[in-house]
Amino acid sequence: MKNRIRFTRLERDYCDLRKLETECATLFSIDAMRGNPPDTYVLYYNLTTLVKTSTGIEQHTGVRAVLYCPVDYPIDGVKVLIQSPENIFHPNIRYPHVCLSRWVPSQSLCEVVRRLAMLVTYQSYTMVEQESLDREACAFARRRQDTLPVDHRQLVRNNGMRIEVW
Amino acid sequence: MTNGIPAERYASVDRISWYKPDVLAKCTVMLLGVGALGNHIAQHLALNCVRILVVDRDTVSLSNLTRSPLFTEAVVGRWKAEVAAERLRIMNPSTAVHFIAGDIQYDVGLAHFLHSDIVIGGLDSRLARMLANRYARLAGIPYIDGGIDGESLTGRVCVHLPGDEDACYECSVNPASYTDVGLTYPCDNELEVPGVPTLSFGAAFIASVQVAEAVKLLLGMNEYVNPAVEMRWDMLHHTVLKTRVEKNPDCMVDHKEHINNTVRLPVPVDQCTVGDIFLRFAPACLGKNPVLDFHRDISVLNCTHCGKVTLALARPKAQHACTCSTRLVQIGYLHALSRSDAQQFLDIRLSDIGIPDADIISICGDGANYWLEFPATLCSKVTEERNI
Repeated sequence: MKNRIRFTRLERDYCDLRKLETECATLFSIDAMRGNPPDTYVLYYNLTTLVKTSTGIEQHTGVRAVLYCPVDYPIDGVKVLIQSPENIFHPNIRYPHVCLSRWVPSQSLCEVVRRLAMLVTYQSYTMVEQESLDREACAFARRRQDTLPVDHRQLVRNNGMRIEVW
Repeated sequence: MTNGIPAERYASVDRISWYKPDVLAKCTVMLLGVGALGNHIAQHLALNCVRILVVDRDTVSLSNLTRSPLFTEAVVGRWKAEVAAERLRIMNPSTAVHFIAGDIQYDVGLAHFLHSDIVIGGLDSRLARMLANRYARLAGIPYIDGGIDGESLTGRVCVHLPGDEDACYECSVNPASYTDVGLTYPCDNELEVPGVPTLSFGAAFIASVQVAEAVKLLLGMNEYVNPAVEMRWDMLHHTVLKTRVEKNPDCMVDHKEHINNTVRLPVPVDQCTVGDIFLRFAPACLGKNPVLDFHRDISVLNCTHCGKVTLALARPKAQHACTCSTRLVQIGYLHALSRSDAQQFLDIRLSDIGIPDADIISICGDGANYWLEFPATLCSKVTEERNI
């Protein structure tokens, strides 16, 4: 059983991700883990996020995540799990689970990768505690809005255009 | 008696020239959902001797009793599928009725679809309809969709045949709708979407049409079936509207994808390990590193205490504990495993992963692909380990 729609999308996603990796080499890299074309990736972000330690909330650079395209992709949304840091502190993350926004099948993997980058750096996060996965982080983010985001860098093309692949 | 059917029982309908209860008795219909529509569909199927596999994940509640003739106050709290099967067997002892009290997506093996002749939907959600449509297409059997709305007293029926000629159910689904159905743990809190209110007589009417279409297909009267034509009845204003559902070139379902030529395995999922698949059942022609594909999303879980890595079907909100009682942390997903990657999972039974009874998996390598089908054993039992 080879679902042509899934196969075609995964092939295109792979090409787009490789392009994005080349263009944003200092900020992020990918490893294709499984599948041909790949449906599972490990993402490495050289970006700063917040972690909760015994001494408080601190900045931490380097985030690793797994991205998986399910059997019914692109009908079913991409699944993302944080691998490290385990103590990541974010309203939309309860290690290892991540809450991106609602899935739309027309979204590309590049868009997911970019959104995750914005999320971990606090360029985007939920302010509504009922919708958050970590209420403490949500309350923290609301109190400390003036200090956020913790990293302003975005996954952008060399010409400065933000990458929007739809 | 003909084929186990008491001749006297069918003496009067025998005078209908095209009606063949002995043919119907050899057919199996999978009925998805035994709520308002499903109750009436099930009754008609049973009365007409069709073998039935009833699937429903819910239990009977008091509010069901206004439109569900198979349920009574005495069965409130019991599985709908189980109660329906009991009542249908009483209604017509010649009819074989099996049931699965479980979720279409996680508890129904694909072989059940493959060995059914038709899928009829008595469903109340778009996601369930999409799944019914996809699985029926994979198995190469028709899907008869139905829906009702008590407020406007309207109902609709549409027959979707397998293959690439006509529109499937998802051809008419608006792309934006995928966002509504794609609720993904952990982000989305359970949306309390109230069901469409229905009335017993509206449900009975639409159910009758669905069964009529099914009987026509089962008796080979395909010229009287309008595939991919939605028939909509307005029972308030006595109007009927027929609308052709156009095939959508951008449909998210691969119309050409289907399962064929399965190899039946001698053991059910609870007696088969991952190692058995590679070492006992994988044909040698697949080379040294064949790939086993579950065709289901599987969570890879790690025990932070003992370091054991295990697999479990990815079900929403499922919590897993290790044998050492520590809560397992999810470290990844997979749907396929190569022989070399499977080393640490060889002793895991497929039922322990959550692969449902009578499921179909595949194994491929060196350019060849084999469908492996597990035998059915659970059709008359309640699937206890569920997470709804």
